[in-house]
Amino acid sequence: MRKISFVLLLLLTSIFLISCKKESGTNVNIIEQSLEGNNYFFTLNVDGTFTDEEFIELSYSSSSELYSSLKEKINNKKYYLTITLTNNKANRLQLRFVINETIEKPGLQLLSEKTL
Amino acid sequence: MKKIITLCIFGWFFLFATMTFVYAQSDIEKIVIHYYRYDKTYDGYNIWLWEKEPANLGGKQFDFNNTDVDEYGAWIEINLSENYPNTTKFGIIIKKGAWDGYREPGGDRFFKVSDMEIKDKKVHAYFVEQDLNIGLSSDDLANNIPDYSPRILSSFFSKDKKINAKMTEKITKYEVFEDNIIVQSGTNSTDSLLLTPSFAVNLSKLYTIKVTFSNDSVVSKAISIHNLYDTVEFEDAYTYTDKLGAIYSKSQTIFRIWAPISDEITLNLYEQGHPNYSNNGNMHEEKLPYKTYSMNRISDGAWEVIVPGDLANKYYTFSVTNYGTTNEVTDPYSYSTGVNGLRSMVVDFSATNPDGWNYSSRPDTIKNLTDYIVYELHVRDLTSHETWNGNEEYRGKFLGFTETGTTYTNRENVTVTTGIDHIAELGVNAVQLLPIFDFGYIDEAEMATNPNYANTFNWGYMPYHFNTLEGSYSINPFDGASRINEFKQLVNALHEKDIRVIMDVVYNHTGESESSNFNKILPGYYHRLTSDGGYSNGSGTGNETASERSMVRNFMLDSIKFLATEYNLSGFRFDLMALHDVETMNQIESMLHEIDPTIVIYGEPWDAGDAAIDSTIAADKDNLSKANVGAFNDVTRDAIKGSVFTANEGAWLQGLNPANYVEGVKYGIVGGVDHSEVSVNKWHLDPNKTINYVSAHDNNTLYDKLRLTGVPTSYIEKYQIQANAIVLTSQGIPFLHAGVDFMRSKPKEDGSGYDENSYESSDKVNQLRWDRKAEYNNVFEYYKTLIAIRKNYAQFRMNNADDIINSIKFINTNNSNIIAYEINNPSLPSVIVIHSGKVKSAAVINLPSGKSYRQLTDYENASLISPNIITGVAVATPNTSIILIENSDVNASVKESTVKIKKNESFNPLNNIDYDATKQTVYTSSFYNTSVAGSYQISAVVVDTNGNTLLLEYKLIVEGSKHYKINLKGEITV
Repeated sequence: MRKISFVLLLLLTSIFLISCKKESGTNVNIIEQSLEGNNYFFTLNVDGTFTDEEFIELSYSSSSELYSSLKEKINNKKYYLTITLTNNKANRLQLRFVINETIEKPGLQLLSEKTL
Repeated sequence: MKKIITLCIFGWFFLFATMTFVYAQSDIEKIVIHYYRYDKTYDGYNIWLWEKEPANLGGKQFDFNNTDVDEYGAWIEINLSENYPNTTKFGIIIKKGAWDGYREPGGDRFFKVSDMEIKDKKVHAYFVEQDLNIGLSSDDLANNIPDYSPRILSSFFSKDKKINAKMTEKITKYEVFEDNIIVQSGTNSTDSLLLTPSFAVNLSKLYTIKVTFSNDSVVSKAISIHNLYDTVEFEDAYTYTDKLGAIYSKSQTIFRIWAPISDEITLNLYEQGHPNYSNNGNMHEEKLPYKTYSMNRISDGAWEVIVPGDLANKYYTFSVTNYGTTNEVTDPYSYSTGVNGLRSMVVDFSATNPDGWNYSSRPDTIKNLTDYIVYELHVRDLTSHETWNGNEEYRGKFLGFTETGTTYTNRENVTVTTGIDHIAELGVNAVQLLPIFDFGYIDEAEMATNPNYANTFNWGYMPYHFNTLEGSYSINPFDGASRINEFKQLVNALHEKDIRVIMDVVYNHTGESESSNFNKILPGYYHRLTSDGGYSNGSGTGNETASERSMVRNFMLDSIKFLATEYNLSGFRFDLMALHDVETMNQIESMLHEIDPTIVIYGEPWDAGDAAIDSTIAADKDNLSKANVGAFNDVTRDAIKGSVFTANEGAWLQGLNPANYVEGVKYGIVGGVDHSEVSVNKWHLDPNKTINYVSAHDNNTLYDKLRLTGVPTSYIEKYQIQANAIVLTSQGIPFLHAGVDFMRSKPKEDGSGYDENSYESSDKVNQLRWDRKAEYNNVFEYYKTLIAIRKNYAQFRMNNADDIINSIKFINTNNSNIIAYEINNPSLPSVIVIHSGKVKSAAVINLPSGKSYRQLTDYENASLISPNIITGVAVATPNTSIILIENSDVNASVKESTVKIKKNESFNPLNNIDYDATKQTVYTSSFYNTSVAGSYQISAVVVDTNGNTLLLEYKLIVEGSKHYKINLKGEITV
């Protein structure tokens, strides 16, 4: 019984720890950034193994997160934003956005998506 | 070895031929222009001579005099190396005095150096008064080219039906014929006749006069009835009201032409649109019609023939016989033509419609005419510059407008939209296209087949076929149906972006005078003539049409109705509108507003000088109160930035005697209405009729004008913005010259200044340069916001004079350099606009107490979503226009800060916003994908009916099998 209890405890602890890790999120690192003209350029890296679908999901979320961090600086003006996403430091996807193009087109608008 | 010898021989031959050619060219030192007038007086007469080829360059004036005269009249000797070192083809106009004086017929006339005989290192060109022929050699002179023999210069019935004739020299006798039967004769020993007919003049008969000169030569000429066209007798006899042109159906085509004095008319049918080219542009001859039909006189001067069968895409002409002379002419009603407009086309319009084409369809963006924001644009200019990166085949064509997604990025990494996306981003809701009807001076066949053909640009103000689209804008000008389909694609492309299409129409004159199809069909009817039968030249281009005559008026009405309905056009801009009569303009307005009351009609309320129209009926400034159409406001145009007639003269903007101009600026601000606080002569009287602008295709661009008036480059962006900040905050209809939003400039190619009349200059001068937009992107962004502000706030778009008079109050600034006013429309938030001009220190304006205002514009920035709330005073730095809107809250909010949905579940971003759909509009961001799990930032802008804005944001989470919570690591430092 003790053994069973111990195994159960171990199992629950593992599940809890896994859940905790999941809750802590995926680290996406800004490794390059520049503002040239009206263009923001960012290179973001994420380590790990991801399917194409997973990587796109991760890239879209990263883009929104980056935009949220930038919007104060942007101050409702129009900019272009190019994000190059690398996986284990290898180029994998590039997304290009226009931000606040007009009053009728606020926020992020995806212009192109290119697999690298 | 044989090959080498052959190559050597060929090489030597080539070298010899080249040297011979160069020698021949360099052997000519002078050109001599001879001009013969029968009255032997030459003082005041001159020539305008320019190089037409290889480069189309500007001209120079040379004067005749009464001293340098020989048997061929007066002559001018011109040194070629000094004036025309490389010219292979000349263009010439012979005139008296300035451009508004007498001109020899034929308009621009051309001759090639290679056709000229060289004598003593000189080439000669011979001209004779009132003769279109040009003599270039001794052989020409021996063959009487041009015609020096005694002639009848003019013969016509005067309004009281007397016969007038003017000869080149004295006669001995004359005879008058009615349909070849002599009805009057006599002797005379002068060079002019004034005869009272001894017979009853019958307008359906042909009258000719035959004279015998003292050398016994006999000459005949038809007696023109042009002075009788305006009689009730003529109007009653010859006003035809049914359809004219080629009326197509699958089973038959009805051909009708109005030609009341013609003896005979034949319809000629062709397979090809050009005698030398197939309809695909391949060399293929078809010189003669494959079938001809005699036409029958029907009623009221019209002729008709009905041809059975499906004639779609066949081409046709009419052979019209008047006074014994037959001319093959195109149909003035041509709905399309082959290349270069040589043959009219039978069009099945149902086969020309692109996918998605719907008749009677216009963007639903205009409720009142004052909602229009017009952008004046030339078709080629939008896409001709190398920085436009759309489909190469579409460059400079109608189809260039269909290319979306084009951008340009400069070295500094500034990215801008180009082409049609630029217009859409700017936010204007109408594009006014410079002439798109078939015009002269561009050889469409050469342009399509010869990559070295250089004469590819023209503004297009020399009309040939008013109902036909210009072939040089089509990717296949040889097939008359292609241009129709392509233009409809252009209209669709603009409509998809909520941009209406306005057409610049030029009914005030025809590209040719005597040789025009109108004139060959009924000489003298379509044009106003001078008292001696010459062409009145109120257009400055050789002639002017007579809109007051019933069949000219009918032609204009038919033409505009066709264009408005077939191409879904939303407006018409009338070139030199003062050459048209008020009644015609009002009939056009009624007809168009029956089709759609939001169609806008306006024009230039002036002519080019010396018009023959009765001043009491001209649609000019004096009579605008009687016309239900709009007109350009040149008063405000010149008051803002200086006269277009004096290049280096500034006005209010430049701080030049601002007191002289302040009332003119205020006249535009109140939309041309009779406002008691504005002290100028008022003639628009209705904001729906007032077209406010500072620059257009004519004259210098705004940027060039500012430079010419001494505005330093360090300040010029501010001036460029403020000029149109005044226009865009004024009542009336704002009009912007394309590219003014990014400092458009037209420097001459030779570096000698700016090109204020670039009507036939190259693309290089005229094109919209997207690199310039990138360079001045801040100016563009400011303009974009000014346009958004105008669209957002109805206070700037009041559509009746009473509202404007009651709402606008000028604030006393005690300084002519500062214009400030308040718009207090009781149903809308208060607006204050301050135009601070060239002041030494910032303008300070006290604001009404108890009110706070959102400041939308300042020295550097403009934003519709401005958080800058001010009370008490407003401060405006020099050359800045400040727009203040009475602050009020927008009642809207997000329901949840985070919305979660399952992957592939439907999502509407509006559903999470608490707003009043009856009073508010919400625009949302587009970056979310419900089939891709993740988190998305949703942005929303709420705009209420008062124009107030509110930015809202929330997060959307699309839950999938995995959902990544992102930890963005690293500091944003840029």
